[in-house]
Amino acid sequence: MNKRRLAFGLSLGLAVLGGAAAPAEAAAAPMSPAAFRMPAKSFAELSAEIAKARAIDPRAFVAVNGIVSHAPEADARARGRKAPVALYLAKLGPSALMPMLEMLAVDAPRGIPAESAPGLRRDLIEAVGLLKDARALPVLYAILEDTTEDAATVRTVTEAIARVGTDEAAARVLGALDASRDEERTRSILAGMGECRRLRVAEALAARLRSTGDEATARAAARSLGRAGNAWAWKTVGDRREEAKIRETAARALVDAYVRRDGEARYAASNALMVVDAPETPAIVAEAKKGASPEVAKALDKLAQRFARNPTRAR
Amino acid sequence: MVRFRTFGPVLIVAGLVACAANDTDDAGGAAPEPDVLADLRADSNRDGTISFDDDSDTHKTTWDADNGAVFLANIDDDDERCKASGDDITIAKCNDAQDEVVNGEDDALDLARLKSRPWPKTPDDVTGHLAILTDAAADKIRIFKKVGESAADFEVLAEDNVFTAEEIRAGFELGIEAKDVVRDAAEWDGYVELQLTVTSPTKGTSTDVVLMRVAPILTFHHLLPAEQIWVSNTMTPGNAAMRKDLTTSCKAAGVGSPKTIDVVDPWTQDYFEPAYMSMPGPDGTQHVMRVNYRSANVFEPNKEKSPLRPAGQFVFKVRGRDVAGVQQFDIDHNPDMDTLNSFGNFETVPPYTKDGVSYPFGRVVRGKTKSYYPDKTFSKLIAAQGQQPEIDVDTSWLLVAHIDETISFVKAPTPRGWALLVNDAPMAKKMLEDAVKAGKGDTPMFVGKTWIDFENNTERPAEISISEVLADTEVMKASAEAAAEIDGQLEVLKEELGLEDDEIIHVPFLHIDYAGKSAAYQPGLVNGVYLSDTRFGAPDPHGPVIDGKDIFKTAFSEPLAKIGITVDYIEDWDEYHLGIGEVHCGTNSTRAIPEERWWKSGR
Repeated sequence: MNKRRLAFGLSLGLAVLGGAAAPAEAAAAPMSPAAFRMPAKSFAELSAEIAKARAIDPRAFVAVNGIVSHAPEADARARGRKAPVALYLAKLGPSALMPMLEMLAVDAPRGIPAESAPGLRRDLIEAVGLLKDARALPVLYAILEDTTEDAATVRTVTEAIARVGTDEAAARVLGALDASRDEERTRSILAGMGECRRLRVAEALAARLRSTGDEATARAAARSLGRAGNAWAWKTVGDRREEAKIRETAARALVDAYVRRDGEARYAASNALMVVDAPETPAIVAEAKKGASPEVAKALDKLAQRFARNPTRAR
Repeated sequence: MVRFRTFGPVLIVAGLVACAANDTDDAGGAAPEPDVLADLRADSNRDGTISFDDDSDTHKTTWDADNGAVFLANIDDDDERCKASGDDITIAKCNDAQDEVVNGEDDALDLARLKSRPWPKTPDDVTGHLAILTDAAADKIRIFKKVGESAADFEVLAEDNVFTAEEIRAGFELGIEAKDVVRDAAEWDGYVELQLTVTSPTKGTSTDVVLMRVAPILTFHHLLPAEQIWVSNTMTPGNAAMRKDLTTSCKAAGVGSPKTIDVVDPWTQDYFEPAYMSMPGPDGTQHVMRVNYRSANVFEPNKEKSPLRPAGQFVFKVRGRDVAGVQQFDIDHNPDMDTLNSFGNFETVPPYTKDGVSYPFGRVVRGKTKSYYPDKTFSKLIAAQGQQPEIDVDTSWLLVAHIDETISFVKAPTPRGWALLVNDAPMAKKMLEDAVKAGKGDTPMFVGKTWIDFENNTERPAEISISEVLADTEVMKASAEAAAEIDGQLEVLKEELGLEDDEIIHVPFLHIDYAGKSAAYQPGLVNGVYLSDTRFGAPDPHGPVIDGKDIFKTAFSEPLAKIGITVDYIEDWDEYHLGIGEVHCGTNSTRAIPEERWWKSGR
């Protein structure tokens, strides 16, 4: 069946097969390929992989290009003006990896309006991460380690690397965190780190949550810890050896944040605790109550009550 | 709100006698009538007329649930002279208050009236003057003087106008309009004190004051009968599929066919919000002006004259007789928070009473936090209306961040009279897990749907088995987060509304993560349109069919059937669900004006 349309009913009458129809206001090269920041060996290996993939499945490149070229239209029609293009790209499956890496590292899509290019680039990064293929890491590292990248891109690329989740990936994310001297960049890395279900990453998040004096950073770290320890997500993961320790680590740091913070950061900590759903939580809360001020003790009682009827468990 | 006049005595005697007509002397006998009298009255008792025959309109310096005169912001376009196109700034300026002319009989009906008591004893040397005592209101209102017999015979009252002795003897009539709605209570709270001073160099001076208040704008809650359903016509197959099912559902609900709006923006809920304002009319009626808010979405901040979401100009295209359009925006509002300005993030909780405090028009509920908030100038406008105090919940975790993604309201045979529909991801997960336990894990969902089609004839079916969904890390992660976040929303709503658990209907669907935020993975059943007391139009969930039934349709239809509501399932996958919205997002509704009078609310 040929439905001849994209999602959101975009007419393919506007499309050019295999290439983007260039809007009038198209920028020349709005997306900055990561190639020049990659090690030469990695780039050579990537180029060879791309060539091989094109020879095996040229239609995958057409398919990725088809979605990418229509992304600005899809964004314009989406609620909130950002279509989940990354999800559509990821749905193409593993064959989409090399076409997307080519766009990120070698040859940026052409004909994309300048205002759409950053969002589309993030879509490509996110989609690459969702494929969880370590071959993407050199490209993603090059983007992460470019300190001129904007905050949203830093978060997205951190998530992508974190999703791949290898030892090296975890180390590079932590390295980027340690190297960051910019509060917004740090916050973005913290926000993306939670996709990495590795104990050393969870411990780093917990440490930052304890040490930061910035509420927005605390909020980001709390939510990210919730992701790292997300009980529902863990049930889908093959290797669960670190699960118990990560969830407990998250729970301890989140209870501590709940006690020491207020407002949105406390609220984020409470929600993350529900998501982590660590069995140690009641004991950690009880421990925190010892010596707590009446006000904090009352808040902890409320937290304990909420946890007892944890909303992430079915009624 | 109780409001008292803010200045000194009503009566000022300048050497000679001047007093109110019905005063009595110290001995209890009838006091002699004064030669000079200022007695200015409005419809302070809100019966639609101004009376001098009794005391009904004499409580005129207090504004509370029982007394206080009302006037309208005369911002409709009764003779339909305004253009329906133009740049965003110009198009919003045109309305009946733009000029100093009463534009016909309909326009005259939008003027609240003031009258002076006819006073035949008035000496020849008397002059009168009307002053606006409320400085903040001075440039917000306009006063007309009736100058002829026909309904529209008014002339604007000049600031230096002097009423002659002849006019004061005969009594004169004024009309008052606000030139705009109240936008910022800190600048003007909508109240105005008008003072009539009548002076005779030989007989003394008399003054009188009337307190009036401009009508607030009220939005409609879901329980009011739908009179008109709106839907964008974007000319796409997905949009056509939705309109077809919506039309069928509207007919079944006894609502007329939905009216289409020819715009490329499919999110009809988002670009305008129907509302109204009213003042007392004759015989217990209310004179109503419908108002449509335009969303404060800034789409093109660099376009100085037309920065706003284009489809929002609809509010000025339907402007006309007793229909107004209002826009309010801050061009510098953080664009990362612009989505919060869509009216999918603006719902009205139905009426309720909690702890002895009544909200007869319900309350506005929006997604808003300290760090993630809608346009502050628009929020000020909403707060300034004073009738539907806002409830804020956290929607910042959602990609689109709209309140209509997680909650809705329907009538229910309970003391409160309505129930809250709320998304419940754990319920959805349990339903799927139960299906797996029953050996149905291979059952597909999203059958016949596609995530995306593209031009090389390759299809990417959305079809997926129950077991695959439960094994999807991204879906499970986002759904658990949604459960906690929605519980946080619910905590606020329970506290504010006094809701009990049995007043909440749980609606199952899962979420997915995108760009670090959440969106409905399955068509969000809660995100539907309440068409009539007995009909709810929800998105077709395309859930797994087990034993011949879509288990998600069953899980939604059954509890609603128990309270007398039939659910119609509307196809919205291609145009709406994939665009991170559903049926409610793609529709809008103009509803019946409630019988309750806002001026009796005490606010």
